[in-house]
Amino acid sequence: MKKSLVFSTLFLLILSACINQEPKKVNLNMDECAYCKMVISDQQFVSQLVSDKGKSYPFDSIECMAAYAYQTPDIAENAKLYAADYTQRGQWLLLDNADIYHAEGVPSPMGLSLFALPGQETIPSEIADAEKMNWNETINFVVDQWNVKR
Amino acid sequence: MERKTMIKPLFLQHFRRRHLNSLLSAMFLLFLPLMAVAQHSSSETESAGLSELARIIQEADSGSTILLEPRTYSVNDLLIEKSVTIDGQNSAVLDIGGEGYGLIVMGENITLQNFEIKDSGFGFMDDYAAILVEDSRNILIENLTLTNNFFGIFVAKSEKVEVSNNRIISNAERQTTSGNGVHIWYSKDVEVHQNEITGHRDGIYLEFVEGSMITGNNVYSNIRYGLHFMYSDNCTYIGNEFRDNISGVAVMYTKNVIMRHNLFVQNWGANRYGLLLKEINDSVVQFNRFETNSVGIYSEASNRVEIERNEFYNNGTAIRMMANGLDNRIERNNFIGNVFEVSTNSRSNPNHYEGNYWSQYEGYDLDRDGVGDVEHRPVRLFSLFAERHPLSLIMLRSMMAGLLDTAERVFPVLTPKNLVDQKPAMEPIQ
Repeated sequence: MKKSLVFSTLFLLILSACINQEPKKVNLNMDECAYCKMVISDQQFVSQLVSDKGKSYPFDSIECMAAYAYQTPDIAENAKLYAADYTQRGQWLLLDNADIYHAEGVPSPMGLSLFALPGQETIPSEIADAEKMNWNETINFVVDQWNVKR
Repeated sequence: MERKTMIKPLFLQHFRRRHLNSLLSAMFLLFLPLMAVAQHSSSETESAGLSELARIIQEADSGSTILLEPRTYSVNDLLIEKSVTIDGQNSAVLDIGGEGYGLIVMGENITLQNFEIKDSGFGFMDDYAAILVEDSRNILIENLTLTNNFFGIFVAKSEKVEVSNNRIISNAERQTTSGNGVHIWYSKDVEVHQNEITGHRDGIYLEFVEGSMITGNNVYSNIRYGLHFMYSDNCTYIGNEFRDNISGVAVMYTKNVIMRHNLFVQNWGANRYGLLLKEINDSVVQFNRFETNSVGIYSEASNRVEIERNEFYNNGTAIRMMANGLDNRIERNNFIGNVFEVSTNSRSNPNHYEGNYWSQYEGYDLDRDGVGDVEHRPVRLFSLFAERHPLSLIMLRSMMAGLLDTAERVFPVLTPKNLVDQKPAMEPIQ
């Protein structure tokens, strides 16, 4: 009895370890943003939420991911959040180790001008007045700007 | 041999010591005017070599017309601030050479017409365009051919810009790095008429534009949307044709939009819609034709939209109406030969359907007033199955599916009870 209990817990542990929260491939010009339904095409702003079950939700922008995370807290809980590196083509950044910025004039697909850079990275010189935000501030900013309701 | 080499250095040494300095300075004086001439001519060839067109514009008077010769000019980030008309007489070609922008327009009363412009640069960080119009007023761009550019015409922070009769064509090889054909951002009073746009990301893209008029454009085979606009209030779209764009047309986060007499054709595939309405309020969709699309109109969180007198032919689903929008009116449309006429995601129906012609209507008209005597329920039960289990579509034509649909029509249990057309037309509406 005891043995089977140990084995089953071990088995469950191994199973849970199998869940892969790495970012999945997003097919540009094919996949739809999980929040705004727009077809994703701008590689600089692509974002992705991978839930604790390993399901990937692609977004065309950080603002859409923030709105989605706000609206569906059950999916966003324990999820891994990724955003594209604004300056490096096709590079995923785990948001825990990255910085989110807001700068007027940065043409993000949904118009809120949010972008991500690796932590401690200097901002490209052509961008003036970038404001750094943490994830909660980002959510609050988007919810406020778009009047997002739960 | 030995003697010669002995003599030469001796002679040179002697010569250097005595005359070289004076000789050199004399030679310097002699060549000075020559060098000046050389310097002058080299600067002249430089300006000509860099951009002949820039020099022509520099020399032109404000308000004049510059006629280009029938040949190829190379242009690169060429700034036009003067009020001029540049006319290529239908034979001049401006070659950007694959790097940077072509023409950068920043001024007032500028016209570009009758030439070809090709091969802009394309970048990951920069939106290179054949023609960039920024902080400008009264700009007319007409009768141009734009070939193989990243962005075609990029308009930013400008007023009164007209883009007419252009052919904007991009190379399919660069699909993944393709920009938009006509891209308009933060502008006012923009008109886009009679253009042919193909092979770009979005054919026509508008963001934060107020009061634009888009008519008679032929937009086909673009790799994302034919027309895409967001946050652009009070815009009108009449008589455009959107064919075979990968994802159809998307209209988002906007109010007071008028869409009339447009054609939405052949947008096939998963997540493809003829027309995607997302958070559109107080708008009008009239006299349009939706033909062979996976979904004709997909409407989400849109309120008070009037969908009237449209033709829906041979679509997978004619209208997919999400229940998070209120008070939309679907009236006097023709639904002919669609697999599903209407589908939705809820059992409640906050919208109004009246007086449409439904080819799936099975009722009768005993009093012969042209209006069916029994109501029509356009949502088929089977569409609910198909939604949850797409593979069940294989059973679409089976007898079982037909029986279920009929039973559901008589006693609606799963489909929205009040999503009915009380006055279905017996004949297609002309």
